[in-house]
Amino acid sequence: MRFLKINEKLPGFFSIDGKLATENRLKGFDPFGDGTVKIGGREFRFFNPERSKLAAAMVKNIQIPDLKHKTMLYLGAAHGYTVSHLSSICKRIYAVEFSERCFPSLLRICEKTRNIIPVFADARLVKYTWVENVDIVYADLAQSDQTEIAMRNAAVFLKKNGSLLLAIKTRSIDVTKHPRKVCTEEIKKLRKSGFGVISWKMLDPFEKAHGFVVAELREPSF
Amino acid sequence: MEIGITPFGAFLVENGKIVKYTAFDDPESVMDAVEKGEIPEHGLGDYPVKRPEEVFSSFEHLAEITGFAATPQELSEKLCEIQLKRVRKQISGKSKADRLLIQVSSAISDLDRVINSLSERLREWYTLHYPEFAATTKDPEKIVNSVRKFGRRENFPDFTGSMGEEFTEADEKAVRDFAEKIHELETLRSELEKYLDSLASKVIPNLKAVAGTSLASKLLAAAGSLEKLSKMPSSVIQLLGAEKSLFRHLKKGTKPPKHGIIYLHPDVSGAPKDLRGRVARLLSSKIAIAARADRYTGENISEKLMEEYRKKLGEILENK
Repeated sequence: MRFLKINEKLPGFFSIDGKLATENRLKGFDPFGDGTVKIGGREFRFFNPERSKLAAAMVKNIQIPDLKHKTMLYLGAAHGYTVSHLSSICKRIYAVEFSERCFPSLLRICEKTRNIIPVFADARLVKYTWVENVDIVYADLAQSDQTEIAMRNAAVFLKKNGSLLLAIKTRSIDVTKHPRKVCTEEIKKLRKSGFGVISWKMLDPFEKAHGFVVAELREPSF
Repeated sequence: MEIGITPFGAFLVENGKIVKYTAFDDPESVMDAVEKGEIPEHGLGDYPVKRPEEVFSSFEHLAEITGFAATPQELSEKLCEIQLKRVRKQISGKSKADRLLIQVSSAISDLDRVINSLSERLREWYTLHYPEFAATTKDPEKIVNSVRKFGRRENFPDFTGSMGEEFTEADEKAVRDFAEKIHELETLRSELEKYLDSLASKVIPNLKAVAGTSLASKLLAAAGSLEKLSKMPSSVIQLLGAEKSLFRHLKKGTKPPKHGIIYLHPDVSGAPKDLRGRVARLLSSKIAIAARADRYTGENISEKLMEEYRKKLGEILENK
């Protein structure tokens, strides 16, 4: 038998044999074929940094806030990879996505987990105002104004002292500029709008030309 | 005093306290209304609807009061269930006619590619047997049809002799079957083309008139949907399909591209080289207008559009 070492990195996230994993709330739940391990009656599912920017951010030691039992607004849920892992950690996740192609997979995960609430809407229009205020806004959008969209959503839905997790796809903002430079400019925008930037890094080698920012809403001024 | 509207109830807040509420029994229609920017009937009086902290900071307690969900877990499950239903409805309610068009058009492009490489294969294959014919005939379709019809070279009416290899009956049958299949693909392709044409007349009459069925559906495919194409500025339409060249220009300062797939239009590809950019610009501007008419009004404005287009095209070509 393999010797597996569990090491809790952050409430809800584990390191097993040096690989990032989350604990499965639903036994046998593995919609993306990540692979699961059973240790002492608990089941863990590997969280692949090649597939999730959040996982990449954790592997790169970006300081992520405590997500355990928090409510979250997730913009750009796509096929639901990251969300499927977060569902076992967060209390409730509102998952916004605008691409129809993603919904067959996303809805299947929502059906199983029961605490992810799918929302079919354009994040930039912020029309889903029936959603409650949340502890965390997570944005992973491929738009040229992704930072602005995230901030606009944070202004409506983020609780005071809540956190904004922002994946910056620099290639959507400006392909001609150096990725790192694009990120620092986006961070300036965040600071100007009353966010305190806690930690940020580029996600190489897991994602090319992507940055990941953890910010806190201090004084909204937008 | 202000009112907060949630899927399960409306709450009146005064001085940081909820003083009155109405429970909603149809969360779905409330959510529909909120997303449309409407205010659902709540009977709490004429106060402004906002997002008071007391209501939106957490739904859990309020959901319990209104009887919507007794526990946080039940709240998640109920909202999830409602949204699963709503999302399914929203997606199935969207018009998919343009996507059908894109699929058919892409299928034709795929067929083109396949037919091309199979025809080239047939030429190579048949060259072994009858090089005088297969290696010198330019039109691949002619090779396909002749092989189908005659099989071995001795059956060709103008056959006089060949330095190619003898084919046995089995050899002949194999190559003939292969040609037959290529012919079937060609038939399929022309049927799909007719079908695409009739689809285009229904779904994108204006685009079809300005750009032609084939180009119009390729533009749709490149844009992703009619909705997206109709929201594009004409300068983007002009360069659809020339992204590589455009970004090379932006990054390295090479010459900017003048046209993308719009080049397929005979007016652009047929124009003198120094005028192609101007023709492409004119054509893309009309395509942009046509896409918007097709997406939003559904009116057929193609005659007026084409009249303007021809007039301006004439001016461009004359003033060279």
